[in-house]
Amino acid sequence: MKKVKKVPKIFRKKYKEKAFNKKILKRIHIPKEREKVEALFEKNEKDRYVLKGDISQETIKKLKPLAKTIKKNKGLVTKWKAIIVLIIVGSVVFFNFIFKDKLIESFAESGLESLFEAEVEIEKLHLSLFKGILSYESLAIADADKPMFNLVETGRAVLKINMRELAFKRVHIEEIALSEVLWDTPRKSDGSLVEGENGGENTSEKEDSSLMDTLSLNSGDFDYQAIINSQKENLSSLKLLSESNQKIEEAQARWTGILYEKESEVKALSDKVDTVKSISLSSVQSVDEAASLIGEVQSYYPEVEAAKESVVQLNRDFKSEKETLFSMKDSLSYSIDTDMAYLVDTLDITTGDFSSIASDLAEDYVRARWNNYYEYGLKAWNIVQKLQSAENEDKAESRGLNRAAGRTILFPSPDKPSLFIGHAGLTGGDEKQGHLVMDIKSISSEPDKTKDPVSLNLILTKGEQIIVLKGVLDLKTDSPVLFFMTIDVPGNPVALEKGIPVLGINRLTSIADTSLNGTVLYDDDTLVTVLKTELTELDIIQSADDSVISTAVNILFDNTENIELIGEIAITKEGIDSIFFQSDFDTLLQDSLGSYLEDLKSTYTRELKDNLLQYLSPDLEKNEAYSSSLDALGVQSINQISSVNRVKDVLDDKVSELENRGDAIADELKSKAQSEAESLVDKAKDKIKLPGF
Amino acid sequence: MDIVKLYIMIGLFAKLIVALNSNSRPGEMASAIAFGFLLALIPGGNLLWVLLFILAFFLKHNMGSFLLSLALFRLITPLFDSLLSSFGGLILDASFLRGFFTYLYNLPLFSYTNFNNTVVLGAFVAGVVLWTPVFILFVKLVRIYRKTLAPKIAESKIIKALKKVPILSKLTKAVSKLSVAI
Repeated sequence: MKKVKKVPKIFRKKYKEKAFNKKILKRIHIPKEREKVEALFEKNEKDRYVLKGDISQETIKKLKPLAKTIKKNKGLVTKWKAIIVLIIVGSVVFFNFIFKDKLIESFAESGLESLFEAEVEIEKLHLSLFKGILSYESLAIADADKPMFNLVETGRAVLKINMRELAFKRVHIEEIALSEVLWDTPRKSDGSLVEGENGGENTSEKEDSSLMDTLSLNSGDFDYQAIINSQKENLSSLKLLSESNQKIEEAQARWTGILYEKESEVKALSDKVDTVKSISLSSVQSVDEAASLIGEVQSYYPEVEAAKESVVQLNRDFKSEKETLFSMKDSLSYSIDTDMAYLVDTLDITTGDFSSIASDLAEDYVRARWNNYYEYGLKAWNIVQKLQSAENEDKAESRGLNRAAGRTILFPSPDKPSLFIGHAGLTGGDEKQGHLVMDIKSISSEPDKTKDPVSLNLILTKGEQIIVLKGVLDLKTDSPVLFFMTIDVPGNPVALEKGIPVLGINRLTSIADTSLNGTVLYDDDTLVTVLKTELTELDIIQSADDSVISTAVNILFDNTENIELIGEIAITKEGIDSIFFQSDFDTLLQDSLGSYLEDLKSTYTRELKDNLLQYLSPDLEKNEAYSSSLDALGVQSINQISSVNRVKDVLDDKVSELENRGDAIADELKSKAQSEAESLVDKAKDKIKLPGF
Repeated sequence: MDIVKLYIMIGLFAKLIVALNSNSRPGEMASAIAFGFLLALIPGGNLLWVLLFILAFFLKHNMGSFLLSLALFRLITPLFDSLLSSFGGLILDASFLRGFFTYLYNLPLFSYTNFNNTVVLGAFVAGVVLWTPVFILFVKLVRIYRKTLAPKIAESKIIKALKKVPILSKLTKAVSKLSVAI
């Protein structure tokens, strides 16, 4: 059976005209539908609007959703939205009690991890919104550079936030109490964020290569040969000498062979030419015969000329190579001087200038300590910069990147900074690092709105050592001094465990009273620090020798009650800009030991040079021998030229003799012919009678 | 992510179409669009925007129209930022209002509204002033649509032809169900 649909209740009611318009017609916003509904109603006898009786099931079906929309169009606020808000409020309250702390802890951890780029662990973080207290039981921040160590870890911390100021968009932390602060502590697990990434620890330090640490200053014990042996790889003279010897030896062997061959050639030529000597001039009877013999002798010339040219060229080549080899030998003396300078440097013998031993030690100490602080300072600086860039990104993100920043106009308000930390108390450290108690007051983001400047008090105790630091950071615009601090370290036992090797001191202990003043002026980024240290109760342990230095140092320390050190250090963002120390101890040392050590240095240098030459002497001797051999070969080459010249002279002489013989024969024939002619003329004269005579 | 955004936009557009063709009050749609316009005009990230959003959320109006207008107006509002900033600056610098703004500035929580920013205040005042014209304009537009355009569209040959397409037919039924129209 088909189900009969009922007319919705809203249409079954009887309405006065005003109510009908208000509750029905005005809530139908589609004109066509309104007309349809209006047509379905009629006025009864009581002047009320009622639904007509003959309404079809089809129409009733269409009226149902219409009734729903009419109900829906009632009121200005939607119920389901109110329910959603109630659910949200309920969730927030629930979250506040159950999840709030865990969520904040998780957010804080991830925020700090992105800041420090290393693992961060916070335990039992709790935020009380009503009391304005944020606390946690422990915090550990790993060191990104040394993942197996914590950069810093703290125990319980409590931050008391002024909630009233927070309502004015000002973060005022009235009190921070931080306990059990430790730094550079070992971790149980790797603290790097990326698996396998380990910054590692470079614990191996470059050892001081100064030989003086292992040598006594007593010249009698000084093992020069050991020094030369230990440094032989670095000595250029030794290498040069060895190379030179090898080359000369090779050249000598080669040239001996060449010159021997040439010698044989010259000898053969000489023998050949010697046959010319056997030509007897008396056997030459005619000019033709002489001319023929001259031709024979001259036929040797080309061979002799070629031989001469060859030996001369050979001699030239030999000379050239010899010069090259001997130039190496010449640079040897320069090389020995260079090696000497190197060896003296390696010895690290003081120049005898004792005006800066104590001040140099102080400078080295300060620089070494500074490097540690500078490393921490750089890390802190990087974190601050990251924090600033993150703040700027957040601001840009919150207003939407494509929106203009506009102009923020400030109105008179109580002179309170947007960020203020009233008091931060910090305790921590351990036996190894020292116990730390620190108080910082009045940290402000807008110093001009803060009454007091930032003040810092720190007391660090480590065994018997006490360091007291007091500092004031005044960032107000009219403040002439930006930063001022004093550090007092009274009665501090100090020990120079490595001693002062150059003075034969193995260990030095004393009590130091140090005071330091540091100042940074406004508009100047340089921290100028003046340091004054007085060392008393001086005690030294000397090396077991009876050298003059040891004796002198012993006497000096016996007569010295205290040492005063005064220094000035200028530090900028880039590091130590300048450092200067002076000490009365340096003057005393200079007076008593300076001249002695100056002489000692000269002795060392001289002895070292002798020893070096002695060390090189076998090679030097070999070098001399090879050089002599080469000289001998040179003489041999010159002799060969002479031999060839002598052969040529023989030929020249013979040619000359033959020419003379030819000339003599010619002259003889000529005179004979002339006399015969004259006799014939005379005879003819007699026979011929001239007319008229 | 872009596909998700596109899906959301299509959903919002569908809700707008449904609202246009349903028996909802024209004022509900118009106020949704006017609030979307106001919130699009004001830069986000401050308490003022959050409070206005909560107010808009509580009021009975079409959420589809509200979110769609917010998204669409937000695309063009940065073009008027310099104008809004000048306008805001004019108000904030007015000497006769200085006392009033100083009072507001020193009220708890008021700093979080960023009302002392020229763009925020300029946008807020401009948005409030333009809210009523926008509201009236869209009430009239909805009425015109329902009275003249909607019946014509419903009776047009194209729509009738499109309704015969199976997918579109199903879509129309779904829309009808959603709109609870007769």
